[in-house]
Amino acid sequence: MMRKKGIDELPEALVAAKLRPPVETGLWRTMKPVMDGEKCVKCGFCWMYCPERAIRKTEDGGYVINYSYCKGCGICGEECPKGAIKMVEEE
Amino acid sequence: MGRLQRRRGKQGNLRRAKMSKQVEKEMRGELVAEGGPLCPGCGASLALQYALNALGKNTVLLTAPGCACMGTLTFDLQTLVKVPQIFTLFENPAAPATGVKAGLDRKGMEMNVLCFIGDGGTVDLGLGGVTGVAERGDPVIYICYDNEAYMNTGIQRSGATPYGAWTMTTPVGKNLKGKGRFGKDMPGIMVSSGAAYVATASIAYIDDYVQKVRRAEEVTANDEGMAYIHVQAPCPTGWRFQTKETIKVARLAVQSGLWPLYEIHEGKYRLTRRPKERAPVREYLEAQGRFRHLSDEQKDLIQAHVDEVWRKIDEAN
Amino acid sequence: MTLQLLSGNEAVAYAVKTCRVDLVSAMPITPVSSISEKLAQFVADGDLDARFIEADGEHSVMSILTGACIAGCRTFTATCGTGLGFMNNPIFNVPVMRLPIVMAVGNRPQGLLDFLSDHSDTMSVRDSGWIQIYVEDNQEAVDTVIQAYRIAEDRRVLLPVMMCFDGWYLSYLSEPVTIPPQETVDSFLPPFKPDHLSLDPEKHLAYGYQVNAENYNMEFRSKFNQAMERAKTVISEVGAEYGRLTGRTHGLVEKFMTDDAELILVTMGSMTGTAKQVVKEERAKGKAVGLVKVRSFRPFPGEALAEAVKEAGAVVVLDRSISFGGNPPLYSEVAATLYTMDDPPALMGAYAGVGGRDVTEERLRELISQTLEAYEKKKPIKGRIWVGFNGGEENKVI
Repeated sequence: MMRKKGIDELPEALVAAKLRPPVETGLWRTMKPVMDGEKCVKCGFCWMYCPERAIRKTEDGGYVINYSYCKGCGICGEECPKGAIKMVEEE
Repeated sequence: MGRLQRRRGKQGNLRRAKMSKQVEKEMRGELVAEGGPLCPGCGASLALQYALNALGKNTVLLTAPGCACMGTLTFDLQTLVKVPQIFTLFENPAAPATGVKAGLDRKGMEMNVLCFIGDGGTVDLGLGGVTGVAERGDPVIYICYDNEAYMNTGIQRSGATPYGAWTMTTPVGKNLKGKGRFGKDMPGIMVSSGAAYVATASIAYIDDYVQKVRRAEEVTANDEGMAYIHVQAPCPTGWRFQTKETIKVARLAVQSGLWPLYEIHEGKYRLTRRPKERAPVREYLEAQGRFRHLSDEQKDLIQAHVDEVWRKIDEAN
Repeated sequence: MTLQLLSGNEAVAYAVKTCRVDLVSAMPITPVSSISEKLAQFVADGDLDARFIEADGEHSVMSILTGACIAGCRTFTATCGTGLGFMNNPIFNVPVMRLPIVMAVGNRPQGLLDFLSDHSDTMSVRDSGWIQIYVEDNQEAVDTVIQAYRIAEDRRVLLPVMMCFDGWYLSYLSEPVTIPPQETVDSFLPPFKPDHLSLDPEKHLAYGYQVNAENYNMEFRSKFNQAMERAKTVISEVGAEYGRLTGRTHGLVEKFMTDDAELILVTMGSMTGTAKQVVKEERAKGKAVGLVKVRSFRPFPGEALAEAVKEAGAVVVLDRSISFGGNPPLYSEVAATLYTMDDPPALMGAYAGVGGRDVTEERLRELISQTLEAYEKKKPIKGRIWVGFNGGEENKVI
């Protein structure tokens, strides 16, 4: 719950300074991407093409999905050349 | 999937890994905070992410009302990007960049100045301003992300909307069959206005796009003049295709020759991707709901238009 | 201090030079084109260490200045009339980011492409949040430009300023003026150091356009309005300090022969000079007339005006612009001020100089006699007095 700002707490100009705490856009999903590590060839396409930057590289060079922000668009599944990402219904 | 969609097998995998490694190398950070409000599958989001991340923190970002602005919009006095940002007026988003660059110069600060503006703000509203920047040679990087309509306000046509496309203001009915004319050749306008570097790009070819952003950075750092990149950013919401197909549609645009990838610098035109055999434009058109109503004649007209463009490209090269 | 014979445009250009601006951008527009030409020459010759940017339209001019000011530059431009109209869009954006840009406006009719002076251009943006100061002559134009930067950059204000000087009548008129020496201006005007503006990547500030779940839009406007109110104090303070340095003091309003005046003319801009002459002559003939010049129109100095006219029996407001279908700007402000007074003078309104019509001594003399007569008969003139109607032949009441 955002506390209401009094006029004195507003900045002098229409200028914003703080970085916003991220919104959990993962809640938007109706379909969810699921990775199959066996099939993955670590080509990096899923990471490269994710519009939300919700796929991260792991230390061993593999990739993992950040479900807090994944909107379930399905691009990763579509672009994966090995079918290593499947879109399944969100619970 | 179209005929020329994928290179299969090990060669394909190696190529892909090389592409993503190249892109990874060019990233200087993740500068757009997660959890932004853009549509799932948004092409513009990819275009913005890579533009900003390739240029790095030492960049002033200018956005105009539109999808990218909404994607980075402040909320309750809090920002979404980790670089200084100016929300410009829609009517002339390029001109403040001139002032910012000149001001930074005066203060002895060296920063990239990046305008990330949509097709509406570039081709229609801000045309005078953006060509003015080119003509003056202000060393500003201007990236026009082209989703081919005023998407943020609800899918209305712009001067960049392609021939035949359905939009809310070029609807399909008894009397009208989508947009009646082709859009403006914005890269051509920028070349004629004196931009030092002009390039087209696509979000399906991220390595190519990032390289062009890099070159734009060089050109402006050398004070050669304005660098302009026109990147196609397919929009599932406005073009009417499934959110998972954004990259596929972008790829088809390039492979059919409808969206040639080139750069023009120091008077030299260079194709950066030449499809070995151009896929029929029909494949691209039929992948999108906004072209569903097109008659065969309209599709042939578009194919002829693309053929003519490539005839000229082949002649010149 | 040497007197030089300078046109209004040249005088303004010299004044801007002494203010050590960082960046100038302008478009050619009659009658103020020579301001930017002169400044461009100063830059070319190395007499002014600034960047001159030729813009592609007034919209771009103000946008360029916005960007440069955010980067920390002291900026300037000059425009008027339809040029100001083309700038309308970015003009409204400047005060909300508290950018202390200074602009010289050579008042020229807006809309109809008229020659000669009329205030309809600056009046069309009176709601924008820009401070508006209307000057009487070229010396005041010089003084006001220099003061404008002090006022605008003052931490209590941080709002842009328009120095309004009548096009043609002042911009092209050559008068003897004194440009204060550089040392005087340097001691008066410190370097521009805005705290709230920074392009430091570590701070990642975002300028303009905010969306608020809590909807602070009304509160922001109240905050900006407070800054405007504070500007009244600052304008007076700065004017007084400048007066100590140069011997020329300007405030929010100026009273001229208002002691025991029965009828007071309220004017703005260059017609004040002519009006003062006429008032002096009428006084010598025994008529109890006076004049109040409104110098700061935004913020409107209601209290100072009320204090200046409270003893008079009648006030005649001369507007140099028309608001079709309603009351003109200066009249509206004066009427609202009078309404707050316990025993206000009677109020009459006139259009003088509208559309650029010359305001002559003869027509002003007639104005004074017709309004004084009406007041003495206890029948203040209803309707507007068009001063110099019919090609300057008559004062017509419509």
